[in-house]
Amino acid sequence: MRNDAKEILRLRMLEASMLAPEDLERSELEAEIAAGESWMREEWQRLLEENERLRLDLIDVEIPSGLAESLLRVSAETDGVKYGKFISSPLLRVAATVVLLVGLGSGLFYSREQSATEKKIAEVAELALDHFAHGSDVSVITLDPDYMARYLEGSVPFPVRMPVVENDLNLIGGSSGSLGAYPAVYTRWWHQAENQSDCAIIQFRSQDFGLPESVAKEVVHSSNVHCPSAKDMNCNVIVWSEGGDGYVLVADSACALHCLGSR
Amino acid sequence: MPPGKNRTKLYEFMVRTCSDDLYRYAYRLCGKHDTAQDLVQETFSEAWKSLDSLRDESKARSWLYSILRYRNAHLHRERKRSRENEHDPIEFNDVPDNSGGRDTLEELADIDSLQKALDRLDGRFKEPFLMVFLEGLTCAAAAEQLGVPLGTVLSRIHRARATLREYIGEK
Repeated sequence: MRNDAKEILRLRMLEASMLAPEDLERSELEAEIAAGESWMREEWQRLLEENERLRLDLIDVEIPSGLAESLLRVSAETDGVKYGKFISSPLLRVAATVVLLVGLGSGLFYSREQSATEKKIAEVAELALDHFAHGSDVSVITLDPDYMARYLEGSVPFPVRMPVVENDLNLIGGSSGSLGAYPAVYTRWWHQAENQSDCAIIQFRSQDFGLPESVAKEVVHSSNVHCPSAKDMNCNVIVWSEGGDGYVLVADSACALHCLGSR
Repeated sequence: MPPGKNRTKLYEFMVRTCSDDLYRYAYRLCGKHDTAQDLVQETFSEAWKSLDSLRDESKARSWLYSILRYRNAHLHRERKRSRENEHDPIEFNDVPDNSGGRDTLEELADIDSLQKALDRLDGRFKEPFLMVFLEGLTCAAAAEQLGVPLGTVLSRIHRARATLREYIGEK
Protein backbone atom coordinates (compact mmCIF):
# COMPACT_ATOMS: atom_id res chain seq x y z
CA MET A 1 0.00 0.00 0.00
CA ARG A 2 1.32 3.43 -0.90
CA ASN A 3 2.38 5.79 1.89
CA ASP A 4 -0.33 8.36 1.22
CA ALA A 5 -2.99 5.66 1.19
CA LYS A 6 -1.55 4.37 4.49
CA GLU A 7 -1.77 7.83 5.98
CA ILE A 8 -5.38 8.24 4.89
CA LEU A 9 -6.22 4.89 6.42
CA ARG A 10 -4.46 5.84 9.67
CA LEU A 11 -6.65 8.94 9.90
CA ARG A 12 -9.76 6.87 9.25
CA MET A 13 -8.68 4.47 11.99
CA LEU A 14 -8.06 7.34 14.38
CA GLU A 15 -11.56 8.66 13.75
CA ALA A 16 -13.22 5.26 13.93
CA SER A 17 -11.46 4.37 17.19
CA MET A 18 -13.41 7.16 18.88
CA LEU A 19 -16.77 6.03 17.57
CA ALA A 20 -18.99 3.77 19.57
CA PRO A 21 -18.18 0.04 19.08
CA GLU A 22 -21.61 -0.57 17.56
CA ASP A 23 -21.24 2.30 15.11
CA LEU A 24 -21.73 1.11 11.53
CA GLU A 25 -18.80 3.11 10.19
CA ARG A 26 -16.50 1.60 12.81
CA SER A 27 -17.76 -1.92 12.18
CA GLU A 28 -17.14 -1.55 8.46
CA LEU A 29 -13.61 -0.32 9.05
CA GLU A 30 -12.90 -3.13 11.50
CA ALA A 31 -13.98 -5.63 8.87
CA GLU A 32 -11.67 -3.93 6.40
CA ILE A 33 -8.82 -4.08 8.92
CA ALA A 34 -9.44 -7.74 9.71
CA ALA A 35 -9.14 -8.59 6.03
CA GLY A 36 -6.15 -6.32 5.47
CA GLU A 37 -2.42 -6.32 6.15
CA SER A 38 -0.95 -7.07 9.58
CA TRP A 39 0.25 -3.50 10.18
CA MET A 40 -3.38 -2.35 10.00
CA ARG A 41 -4.38 -4.71 12.81
CA GLU A 42 -1.37 -3.65 14.88
CA GLU A 43 -2.09 0.04 14.35
CA TRP A 44 -5.75 -0.43 15.21
CA GLN A 45 -4.90 -2.31 18.39
CA ARG A 46 -2.39 0.37 19.37
CA LEU A 47 -5.02 3.07 18.91
CA LEU A 48 -7.58 1.25 21.01
CA GLU A 49 -5.06 0.65 23.78
CA GLU A 50 -3.96 4.27 23.69
CA ASN A 51 -7.56 5.46 23.88
CA GLU A 52 -8.20 3.26 26.88
CA ARG A 53 -5.02 4.36 28.62
CA LEU A 54 -5.84 7.98 27.94
CA ARG A 55 -9.27 7.54 29.52
CA LEU A 56 -7.76 5.89 32.58
CA ASP A 57 -5.18 8.65 33.01
CA LEU A 58 -7.73 11.40 32.58
CA ILE A 59 -9.88 10.09 35.42
CA ASP A 60 -6.89 9.78 37.74
CA VAL A 61 -7.69 12.94 39.70
CA GLU A 62 -7.76 13.29 43.46
CA ILE A 63 -11.25 14.20 44.66
CA PRO A 64 -11.28 16.66 47.57
CA SER A 65 -12.68 15.13 50.73
CA GLY A 66 -16.14 16.32 51.69
CA LEU A 67 -17.02 17.45 48.16
CA ALA A 68 -20.39 15.72 48.07
CA GLU A 69 -21.26 16.92 51.56
CA SER A 70 -20.50 20.54 50.66
CA LEU A 71 -22.67 20.24 47.55
CA LEU A 72 -25.54 18.74 49.52
CA ARG A 73 -25.54 21.83 51.71
CA VAL A 74 -26.50 23.87 48.63
CA SER A 75 -30.00 22.46 48.70
CA ALA A 76 -30.31 23.25 52.39
CA GLU A 77 -29.51 26.90 51.88
CA THR A 78 -32.25 29.34 50.87
CA ASP A 79 -30.42 30.97 48.04
CA GLY A 80 -27.75 28.44 47.03
CA VAL A 81 -24.09 29.45 46.90
CA LYS A 82 -23.42 32.63 48.80
CA TYR A 83 -21.84 34.86 46.22
CA GLY A 84 -20.58 37.07 49.00
CA LYS A 85 -17.49 34.90 48.92
CA PHE A 86 -16.40 36.78 45.85
CA ILE A 87 -16.26 39.94 47.96
CA SER A 88 -14.65 38.52 51.04
CA SER A 89 -14.03 41.68 53.04
CA PRO A 90 -17.04 43.09 54.94
CA LEU A 91 -15.71 46.60 54.28
CA LEU A 92 -15.62 45.92 50.56
CA ARG A 93 -19.22 44.67 50.69
CA VAL A 94 -20.29 47.93 52.34
CA ALA A 95 -18.30 49.97 49.85
CA ALA A 96 -19.81 48.06 46.94
CA THR A 97 -23.31 48.71 48.27
CA VAL A 98 -22.62 52.45 48.67
CA VAL A 99 -21.24 52.67 45.14
CA LEU A 100 -24.32 50.88 43.85
CA LEU A 101 -26.64 53.33 45.61
CA VAL A 102 -24.72 56.42 44.50
CA GLY A 103 -24.29 55.18 40.96
CA LEU A 104 -27.90 54.31 40.36
CA GLY A 105 -29.30 57.15 42.40
CA SER A 106 -32.49 55.31 43.20
CA GLY A 107 -33.99 52.98 45.81
CA LEU A 108 -31.90 49.92 46.64
CA PHE A 109 -34.60 47.27 46.08
CA TYR A 110 -35.71 48.68 42.73
CA SER A 111 -32.04 48.83 41.63
CA ARG A 112 -31.44 45.20 42.54
CA GLU A 113 -34.50 43.96 40.62
CA GLN A 114 -33.63 45.97 37.48
CA SER A 115 -30.00 44.90 37.36
CA ALA A 116 -30.83 41.22 37.83
CA THR A 117 -32.90 41.20 34.60
CA GLU A 118 -30.40 43.39 32.78
CA LYS A 119 -27.65 41.05 33.81
CA LYS A 120 -29.57 38.08 32.43
CA ILE A 121 -30.21 39.95 29.20
CA ALA A 122 -26.52 40.75 28.87
CA GLU A 123 -25.71 37.08 29.48
CA VAL A 124 -28.05 35.98 26.72
CA ALA A 125 -26.75 38.68 24.39
CA GLU A 126 -23.17 37.60 24.98
CA LEU A 127 -23.94 33.95 24.26
CA ALA A 128 -25.92 34.78 21.14
CA LEU A 129 -23.22 37.10 19.82
CA ASP A 130 -20.56 34.47 20.35
CA HIS A 131 -22.74 31.91 18.59
CA PHE A 132 -23.33 34.30 15.69
CA ALA A 133 -19.65 35.20 15.41
CA HIS A 134 -18.59 31.57 15.13
CA GLY A 135 -21.30 30.83 12.62
CA SER A 136 -23.38 27.69 12.67
CA ASP A 137 -24.59 25.38 9.96
CA VAL A 138 -28.32 24.94 9.61
CA SER A 139 -29.71 21.42 9.57
CA VAL A 140 -32.70 22.36 7.42
CA ILE A 141 -32.70 24.86 4.57
CA THR A 142 -36.13 26.32 3.90
CA LEU A 143 -37.90 29.58 3.25
CA ASP A 144 -40.98 28.41 5.14
CA PRO A 145 -40.96 29.12 8.92
CA ASP A 146 -43.89 26.72 9.47
CA TYR A 147 -42.06 23.89 7.72
CA MET A 148 -38.97 24.58 9.74
CA ALA A 149 -40.96 24.62 12.99
CA ARG A 150 -42.49 21.24 12.12
CA TYR A 151 -39.06 19.86 11.13
CA LEU A 152 -37.45 20.90 14.38
CA GLU A 153 -40.38 20.01 16.63
CA GLY A 154 -39.26 17.43 19.18
CA SER A 155 -35.59 18.25 18.86
CA VAL A 156 -35.89 20.73 21.72
CA PRO A 157 -38.01 20.41 24.90
CA PHE A 158 -40.34 23.27 24.02
CA PRO A 159 -42.67 24.19 21.14
CA VAL A 160 -40.82 25.75 18.22
CA ARG A 161 -42.46 29.12 17.59
CA MET A 162 -40.92 31.61 15.23
CA PRO A 163 -41.31 35.30 16.11
CA VAL A 164 -43.45 37.43 13.82
CA VAL A 165 -41.26 39.15 11.26
CA GLU A 166 -41.98 41.63 8.48
CA ASN A 167 -41.83 40.65 4.82
CA ASP A 168 -38.37 42.06 4.24
CA LEU A 169 -36.77 39.40 6.44
CA ASN A 170 -36.46 35.99 4.76
CA LEU A 171 -35.71 32.70 6.41
CA ILE A 172 -32.69 30.71 5.23
CA GLY A 173 -32.98 27.75 7.57
CA GLY A 174 -32.48 26.53 11.10
CA SER A 175 -31.22 23.90 13.48
CA SER A 176 -31.61 22.82 17.06
CA GLY A 177 -28.69 23.29 19.39
CA SER A 178 -27.87 25.05 22.58
CA LEU A 179 -27.41 28.54 23.89
CA GLY A 180 -24.91 28.16 26.67
CA ALA A 181 -26.05 25.19 28.71
CA TYR A 182 -29.66 25.24 27.54
CA PRO A 183 -31.52 23.95 24.48
CA ALA A 184 -32.29 26.45 21.77
CA VAL A 185 -33.49 26.75 18.20
CA TYR A 186 -31.16 28.63 15.89
CA THR A 187 -32.45 30.26 12.72
CA ARG A 188 -30.72 32.23 10.00
CA TRP A 189 -32.35 35.06 8.02
CA TRP A 190 -31.39 37.57 5.38
CA HIS A 191 -32.76 41.03 4.72
CA GLN A 192 -34.32 41.33 1.28
CA ALA A 193 -33.51 45.00 0.75
CA GLU A 194 -29.85 44.54 1.69
CA ASN A 195 -28.34 41.37 0.31
CA GLN A 196 -25.36 41.60 2.60
CA SER A 197 -27.46 41.84 5.73
CA ASP A 198 -27.19 38.77 7.90
CA CYS A 199 -29.35 37.95 10.87
CA ALA A 200 -29.85 35.13 13.34
CA ILE A 201 -32.81 34.59 15.65
CA ILE A 202 -32.47 32.13 18.49
CA GLN A 203 -35.43 30.80 20.47
CA PHE A 204 -34.96 29.51 24.01
CA ARG A 205 -36.96 29.12 27.21
CA SER A 206 -36.96 32.35 29.17
CA GLN A 207 -37.00 30.43 32.46
CA ASP A 208 -33.70 28.72 31.55
CA PHE A 209 -31.94 32.05 31.87
CA GLY A 210 -34.04 33.35 34.75
CA LEU A 211 -35.86 35.86 32.55
CA PRO A 212 -39.51 36.75 33.17
CA GLU A 213 -42.11 35.19 30.86
CA SER A 214 -42.57 38.52 29.10
CA VAL A 215 -39.80 41.02 28.64
CA ALA A 216 -39.92 44.01 26.32
CA LYS A 217 -37.38 44.11 23.52
CA GLU A 218 -34.02 45.27 24.83
CA VAL A 219 -31.43 46.41 22.28
CA VAL A 220 -27.77 45.78 23.07
CA HIS A 221 -24.96 46.83 20.76
CA SER A 222 -22.06 44.41 20.34
CA SER A 223 -19.64 47.04 21.64
CA ASN A 224 -21.44 46.90 24.99
CA VAL A 225 -21.08 43.14 25.31
CA HIS A 226 -17.85 41.42 26.23
CA CYS A 227 -17.48 38.99 23.37
CA PRO A 228 -13.92 38.80 21.99
CA SER A 229 -15.00 36.67 19.04
CA ALA A 230 -17.32 39.47 17.88
CA LYS A 231 -15.16 42.48 18.76
CA ASP A 232 -14.74 43.52 15.11
CA MET A 233 -18.38 43.03 14.24
CA ASN A 234 -20.78 45.94 14.26
CA CYS A 235 -23.86 44.07 15.41
CA ASN A 236 -27.05 44.77 17.23
CA VAL A 237 -28.59 42.27 19.61
CA ILE A 238 -32.21 42.31 20.74
CA VAL A 239 -33.40 40.16 23.61
CA TRP A 240 -37.04 39.69 24.54
CA SER A 241 -39.55 37.11 25.68
CA GLU A 242 -43.21 36.43 24.95
CA GLY A 243 -45.27 33.98 26.99
CA GLY A 244 -42.22 32.11 28.24
CA ASP A 245 -40.57 31.91 24.80
CA GLY A 246 -37.27 33.75 24.86
CA TYR A 247 -35.79 35.21 21.71
CA VAL A 248 -32.55 36.85 20.82
CA LEU A 249 -31.86 38.45 17.45
CA VAL A 250 -28.36 39.22 16.26
CA ALA A 251 -28.13 41.42 13.19
CA ASP A 252 -25.30 43.08 11.36
CA SER A 253 -27.58 45.75 10.04
CA ALA A 254 -29.89 48.24 11.68
CA CYS A 255 -32.54 47.43 9.06
CA ALA A 256 -33.10 43.97 10.46
CA LEU A 257 -34.04 45.46 13.81
CA HIS A 258 -37.14 47.03 12.31
CA CYS A 259 -38.38 43.76 10.86
CA LEU A 260 -39.73 42.35 14.09
CA GLY A 261 -43.43 42.42 14.78
CA SER A 262 -45.12 41.10 17.90
CA ARG A 263 -47.46 38.16 18.62
CA MET B 1 -41.16 17.80 38.32
CA PRO B 2 -42.73 17.01 41.67
CA PRO B 3 -42.01 19.72 44.21
CA GLY B 4 -40.40 19.52 47.62
CA LYS B 5 -39.17 16.14 48.75
CA ASN B 6 -38.75 14.57 45.30
CA ARG B 7 -36.82 17.57 44.12
CA THR B 8 -34.40 17.23 47.01
CA LYS B 9 -34.10 13.49 46.43
CA LEU B 10 -33.26 14.04 42.78
CA TYR B 11 -30.67 16.65 43.65
CA GLU B 12 -29.06 14.36 46.23
CA PHE B 13 -28.98 11.55 43.71
CA MET B 14 -27.26 13.82 41.20
CA VAL B 15 -24.66 14.88 43.77
CA ARG B 16 -23.87 11.34 44.86
CA THR B 17 -23.64 9.90 41.34
CA CYS B 18 -22.11 12.78 39.38
CA SER B 19 -20.08 15.06 41.65
CA ASP B 20 -16.82 13.09 41.48
CA ASP B 21 -16.94 12.75 37.69
CA LEU B 22 -17.81 16.41 37.32
CA TYR B 23 -14.91 17.36 39.54
CA ARG B 24 -12.50 15.32 37.43
CA TYR B 25 -13.83 16.98 34.32
CA ALA B 26 -13.60 20.44 35.88
CA TYR B 27 -10.04 19.83 36.98
CA ARG B 28 -8.99 18.64 33.54
CA LEU B 29 -10.66 21.70 32.04
CA CYS B 30 -9.03 24.30 34.24
CA GLY B 31 -5.99 22.56 35.74
CA LYS B 32 -6.48 23.93 39.24
CA HIS B 33 -8.09 22.17 42.19
CA ASP B 34 -9.53 25.30 43.81
CA THR B 35 -11.00 26.56 40.53
CA ALA B 36 -12.39 23.10 39.81
CA GLN B 37 -14.06 23.07 43.20
CA ASP B 38 -15.59 26.50 42.54
CA LEU B 39 -16.84 25.37 39.14
CA VAL B 40 -18.48 22.27 40.55
CA GLN B 41 -20.02 24.27 43.38
CA GLU B 42 -21.45 26.79 40.90
CA THR B 43 -22.67 24.01 38.65
CA PHE B 44 -24.65 22.29 41.36
CA SER B 45 -25.93 25.59 42.68
CA GLU B 46 -27.22 26.43 39.22
CA ALA B 47 -28.65 22.94 38.91
CA TRP B 48 -30.50 23.25 42.19
CA LYS B 49 -32.00 26.58 41.16
CA SER B 50 -32.95 25.34 37.69
CA LEU B 51 -34.01 21.81 38.60
CA ASP B 52 -37.58 22.48 37.53
CA SER B 53 -36.39 23.02 33.97
CA LEU B 54 -35.00 19.48 33.78
CA ARG B 55 -37.78 17.64 31.98
CA ASP B 56 -36.03 14.32 31.50
CA GLU B 57 -34.27 13.00 34.58
CA SER B 58 -32.32 10.51 32.48
CA LYS B 59 -30.52 13.48 30.94
CA ALA B 60 -29.48 14.92 34.30
CA ARG B 61 -25.86 13.90 33.87
CA SER B 62 -25.39 15.52 30.47
CA TRP B 63 -27.30 18.54 31.73
CA LEU B 64 -24.85 18.97 34.59
CA TYR B 65 -21.90 18.74 32.22
CA SER B 66 -23.46 21.39 30.01
CA ILE B 67 -23.87 23.73 32.96
CA LEU B 68 -20.27 23.15 33.99
CA ARG B 69 -19.00 23.94 30.51
CA TYR B 70 -21.04 27.09 30.47
CA ARG B 71 -19.74 28.14 33.89
CA ASN B 72 -16.18 27.45 32.78
CA ALA B 73 -16.64 29.51 29.63
CA HIS B 74 -18.06 32.32 31.73
CA LEU B 75 -15.13 32.12 34.14
CA HIS B 76 -12.70 32.11 31.25
CA ARG B 77 -14.27 35.24 29.81
CA GLU B 78 -14.14 36.99 33.19
CA ARG B 79 -10.48 36.14 33.66
CA LYS B 80 -9.54 37.22 30.16
CA ARG B 81 -11.13 40.54 30.87
CA SER B 82 -8.76 41.19 33.75
CA ARG B 83 -5.68 39.57 32.31
CA GLU B 84 -3.07 41.89 30.77
CA ASN B 85 -1.34 39.44 28.48
CA GLU B 86 -2.52 36.21 26.93
CA HIS B 87 -0.01 33.48 26.43
CA ASP B 88 0.01 31.40 23.30
CA PRO B 89 -2.09 28.33 24.11
CA ILE B 90 0.30 26.12 22.21
CA GLU B 91 3.94 26.76 22.93
CA PHE B 92 6.21 24.19 21.53
CA ASN B 93 9.36 26.11 22.48
CA ASP B 94 9.02 24.87 26.03
CA VAL B 95 8.72 21.22 25.13
CA PRO B 96 11.46 19.48 27.09
CA ASP B 97 14.00 17.60 25.07
CA ASN B 98 13.03 14.08 25.87
CA SER B 99 15.54 12.02 24.01
CA GLY B 100 15.02 9.09 26.37
CA GLY B 101 12.64 7.54 23.88
CA ARG B 102 9.95 6.77 26.43
CA ASP B 103 7.05 4.77 25.14
CA THR B 104 3.84 6.69 24.44
CA LEU B 105 1.81 4.77 27.00
CA GLU B 106 4.50 5.30 29.60
CA GLU B 107 4.49 9.03 28.87
CA LEU B 108 0.74 9.17 29.12
CA ALA B 109 1.02 7.58 32.55
CA ASP B 110 2.83 10.73 33.78
CA ILE B 111 -0.23 12.62 34.91
CA ASP B 112 1.62 15.87 35.59
CA SER B 113 2.79 15.97 32.01
CA LEU B 114 -0.70 15.20 30.85
CA GLN B 115 -2.26 18.08 32.76
CA LYS B 116 0.46 20.47 31.67
CA ALA B 117 -0.15 19.46 28.10
CA LEU B 118 -3.91 19.87 28.54
CA ASP B 119 -3.40 23.32 30.03
CA ARG B 120 -1.67 24.37 26.86
CA LEU B 121 -4.44 23.22 24.59
CA ASP B 122 -6.72 25.80 23.04
CA GLY B 123 -10.26 25.43 24.38
CA ARG B 124 -11.63 24.60 20.95
CA PHE B 125 -9.54 21.42 20.92
CA LYS B 126 -9.59 20.59 24.60
CA GLU B 127 -13.34 20.73 25.02
CA PRO B 128 -14.37 18.10 22.45
CA PHE B 129 -11.38 15.99 23.48
CA LEU B 130 -12.54 15.92 27.11
CA MET B 131 -16.17 15.49 26.12
CA VAL B 132 -15.29 12.27 24.29
CA PHE B 133 -12.49 10.87 26.43
CA LEU B 134 -13.61 11.95 29.88
CA GLU B 135 -17.30 12.65 29.76
CA GLY B 136 -17.78 9.59 27.58
CA LEU B 137 -19.84 11.16 24.83
CA THR B 138 -19.72 9.84 21.31
CA CYS B 139 -18.22 12.22 18.79
CA ALA B 140 -21.67 12.70 17.29
CA ALA B 141 -23.15 13.68 20.66
CA ALA B 142 -20.27 16.06 21.31
CA ALA B 143 -20.81 17.65 17.89
CA GLU B 144 -24.50 18.09 18.66
CA GLN B 145 -23.81 19.72 22.02
CA LEU B 146 -21.18 22.02 20.62
CA GLY B 147 -23.31 22.88 17.62
CA VAL B 148 -20.60 22.01 15.11
CA PRO B 149 -20.37 19.32 12.42
CA LEU B 150 -19.09 15.87 13.32
CA GLY B 151 -16.08 16.32 11.06
CA THR B 152 -15.08 19.42 12.99
CA VAL B 153 -15.16 17.52 16.27
CA LEU B 154 -13.09 14.69 14.83
CA SER B 155 -10.47 17.03 13.44
CA ARG B 156 -10.26 18.97 16.72
CA ILE B 157 -9.80 15.78 18.71
CA HIS B 158 -7.17 14.64 16.26
CA ARG B 159 -5.41 17.97 16.68
CA ALA B 160 -5.65 17.71 20.49
CA ARG B 161 -4.10 14.25 20.51
CA ALA B 162 -1.32 15.34 18.18
CA THR B 163 -0.58 18.35 20.37
CA LEU B 164 -0.56 16.25 23.53
CA ARG B 165 1.80 13.78 21.90
CA GLU B 166 4.16 16.53 20.78
CA TYR B 167 4.27 18.16 24.17
CA ILE B 168 4.82 14.88 25.97
CA GLY B 169 7.61 14.20 23.50
CA GLU B 170 6.35 11.39 21.33
CA LYS B 171 6.82 11.97 17.56
